[in-house]
Amino acid sequence: MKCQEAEKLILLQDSGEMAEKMANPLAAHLHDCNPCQQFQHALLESQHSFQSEEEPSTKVMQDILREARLQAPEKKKSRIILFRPAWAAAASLLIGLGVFFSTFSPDKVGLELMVTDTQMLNAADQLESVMYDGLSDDDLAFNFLMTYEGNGQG
Amino acid sequence: MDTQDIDCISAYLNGDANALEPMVEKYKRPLYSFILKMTEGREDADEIFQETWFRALKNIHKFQHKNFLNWLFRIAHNLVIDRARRNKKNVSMQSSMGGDDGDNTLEDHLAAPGISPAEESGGTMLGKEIEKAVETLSPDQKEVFLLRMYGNVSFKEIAKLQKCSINTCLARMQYALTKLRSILKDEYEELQEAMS
Repeated sequence: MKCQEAEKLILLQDSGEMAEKMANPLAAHLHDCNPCQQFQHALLESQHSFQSEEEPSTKVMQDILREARLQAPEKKKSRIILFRPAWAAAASLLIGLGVFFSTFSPDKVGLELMVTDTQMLNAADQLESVMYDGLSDDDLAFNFLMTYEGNGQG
Repeated sequence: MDTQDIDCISAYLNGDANALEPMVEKYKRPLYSFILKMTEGREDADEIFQETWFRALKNIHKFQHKNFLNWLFRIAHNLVIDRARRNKKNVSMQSSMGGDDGDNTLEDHLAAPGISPAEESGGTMLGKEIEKAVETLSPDQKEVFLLRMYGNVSFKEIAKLQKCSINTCLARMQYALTKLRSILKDEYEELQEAMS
């Protein structure tokens, strides 16, 4: 291998672009060639000397970050938000159907409108109704007498 | 491409305004170091660094490159060339008016002696010599060298960027390193002696 070719391979090896099959021939050449070793050394020494240490001014960095915020595209709305009216319509429809079927099912028709006689009385009458509900006329007469006598004694 | 970069870019494109901050931070040193060496001082470098990012932000939705840093280098490369051309025009205008000695070339405006990381950080004599040697390279040679040093940009990418063949890029880098080899020869021989 000529030195000219070896130098190119040294550079390509350094950049990760050398074909694998060239690794051994290059190593063999480097083993015996002092100028090529020096070339490789110059490459490594340069990398050591040229390290990225410089930084832009703080103001420049702030300006770039500010510009990045200004140029940022608007947040993409999620699909749920995009189809919000459709979702609302669908939800309303479902609620409506639910109410319809629960209200008008055949075995429950008018159930909520059925009010017992007792529920129509005022509170005092409701109490009396409960107390005397189910008593026969004789029992009611007896109850009345007992109440009357009790009141008379008091 | 770096998966972190992909995440940052897609988050940014989906509206997260701060998503690019880690990338600006991550790439500031290699990009700025490269620009600083290719321009004439910090003021110029700051301006080009900022403009590079502004252009990147403007076109980020079009980004389909494999490597974001390479893309930034490509934008910076174009801006550096634009600036050099502008300066060349200015120089030729000045010289035609008798305001300059007329010896200024494009190379004079790209090469920026006096901005040396080694000098600024109190580097070694050897470091300074390497820096000096790099300053004497032609703009194309210098660019290949700096892209390799600061950005670890592949020769394939550099070839695309400079619109030349990989072989030409390799030759430019070889030339640069041959110069450095002569500077570093004594140091290398001392090192070899110490090891044997």
